[in-house]
Amino acid sequence: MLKDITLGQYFPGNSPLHKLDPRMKLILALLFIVTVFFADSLVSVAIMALASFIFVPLGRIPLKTVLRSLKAIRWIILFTSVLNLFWVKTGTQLVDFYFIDIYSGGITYAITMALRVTALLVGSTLLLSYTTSPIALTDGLEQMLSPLKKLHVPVHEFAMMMTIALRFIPTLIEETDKIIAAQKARGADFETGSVFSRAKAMIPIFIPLFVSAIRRADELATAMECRCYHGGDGRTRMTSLRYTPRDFVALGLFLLFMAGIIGMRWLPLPAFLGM
Amino acid sequence: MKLELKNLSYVYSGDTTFRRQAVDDVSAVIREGSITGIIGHTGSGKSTLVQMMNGLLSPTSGEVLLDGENIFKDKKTLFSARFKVGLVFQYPEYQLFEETVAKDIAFGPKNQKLSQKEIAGRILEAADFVGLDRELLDRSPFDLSGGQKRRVAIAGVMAMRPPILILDEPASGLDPVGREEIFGGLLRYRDQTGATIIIVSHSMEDMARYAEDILVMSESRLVLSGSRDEVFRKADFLCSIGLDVPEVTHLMNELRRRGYDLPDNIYTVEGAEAALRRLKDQLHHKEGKVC
Ligand SMILES: Nc1ncnc2c1ncn2[C@@H]1O[C@H](COP(=O)(O)OP(=O)(O)OP(=O)(O)O)[C@@H](O)[C@H]1O
Ligand SMILES: [Mg+2]
Repeated sequence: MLKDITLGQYFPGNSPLHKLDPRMKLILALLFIVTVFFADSLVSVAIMALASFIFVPLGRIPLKTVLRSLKAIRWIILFTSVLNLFWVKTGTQLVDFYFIDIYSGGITYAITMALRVTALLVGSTLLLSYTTSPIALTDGLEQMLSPLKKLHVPVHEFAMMMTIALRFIPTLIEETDKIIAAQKARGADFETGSVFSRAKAMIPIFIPLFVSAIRRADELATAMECRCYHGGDGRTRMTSLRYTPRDFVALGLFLLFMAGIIGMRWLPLPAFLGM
Repeated sequence: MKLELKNLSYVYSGDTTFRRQAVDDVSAVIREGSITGIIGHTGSGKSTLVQMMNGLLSPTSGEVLLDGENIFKDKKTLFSARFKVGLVFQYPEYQLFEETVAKDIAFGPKNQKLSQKEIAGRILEAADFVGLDRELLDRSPFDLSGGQKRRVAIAGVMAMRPPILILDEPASGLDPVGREEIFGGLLRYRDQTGATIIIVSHSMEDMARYAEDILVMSESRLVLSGSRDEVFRKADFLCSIGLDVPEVTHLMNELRRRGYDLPDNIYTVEGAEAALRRLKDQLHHKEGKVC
């Protein structure tokens, strides 16, 4: 069913990672991504990939779930790696077979690429989507971008739109599931026939879905107005975000780690490990 | 048509942390031509169970037998099961989509590949079953009241004339008159076509009134089944799993506890009225003798 598509799935919990301020997690994720691109040797990228798994116990996320999300993108990883394998022509030539030339540099680079994508995915999903609720994330984003309000950027309105959209994705997915089931019960056939007739078979799904989305939007707008919602001006929050010492410890540790990884550029490494 | 459930189980999100066993080893035989009620508290697996009965959900294990044939045998059997077992979902009014009520009711029969003439007949017939004014047939379904939309949705399934008709909470959110009209329509459908009707409901009053057999679900399991009298006689058990018997049954039980000679199978207000009148006559009679 549609529900099985896990778009940045949040695992409620109380782990050290869950407790970090969402703004700090956004900063850390950004720094993490920058570091992954700064790490340019096989060793440093490997360390990054391994390090990203530290977040698994820190966030108390089942390793199985993380591995499954990796499995979902295994073809992307494989494709980028293989592409690099044939593209990079540095180091010593290992294979010379008609148009297939493989150099040692290509192999190193292919592995580096695979590790890099792994580190990126594991690190950012664990820091953000698995351990931060979408609502906390938009809240964090709103507060980080709030200086832009001075430039008349409607930050609050954008954040509210995002919050509402995120809130209603699961609802609409559930509703789509229900409508599909109901029309199937009336003998609707979505699986056979030409492309054209299959597209036509979608009408009994889309019309009720749009009708109900519009009805929901309307009801929500009324409910918000009844509670005197009038945009961001002068609005305060029930829980305002505040950095705690924990956040700065996390930042400190991370900066140290980052310095170490970037510092590795100047380490004398054997040629096959470098680039 | 005979419907039989054999060791049905269903697990949602099987191999994830959100795993949830919604139906656990349910076996039952639904009596042909009966009105069978399914009761159970919220989340007990009723909706999941009925969705397996017409093959919308494939059970994790177990079989659904229609006249002895497992509907999950192959794709064709599965597809045809949808026409033999009609299912009306909870709040079915949200799945209307056509320009006119008549076209919406025609959706099912059209998928059955019936001829134009037959379809036209089915539309009128179904509208009559649910008591829908024929004038409404050319209106847009989105312009109707909630109760009218509900009837259009039920007519849409009845128009396929399934020998087994299942309805998930058909009367929820309707006023007493609306409820009565819906149930009246179901009775008419059963009497004219000889179909079996299965109703999922929270309302013990409605079940007492219309159901002949009752299945009781609790925590994903089928914990009790039998005729209406057999089930409602076990008031204490029903209360222990978070269900209830009709209010008037409570009243009768209390009166009986206080020594009045009343039968223990009264579930409707009409039944209670008759029993109380009988009791009154009896007492009157005795007094007369004494004097
Ligand atoms: N699509 C789904 N994905 C995961 N779990 C589900 C899904 N649908 C239902 N469940 C779970 O399965 C269990 C049984 O649900 P079901 O809808 O069958 O209950 P019900 O008896 O119909 O309840 P109600 O009386 O509230 O309609 C519930 O615990 C529910 O949380
Ligand atoms: Mg239900």
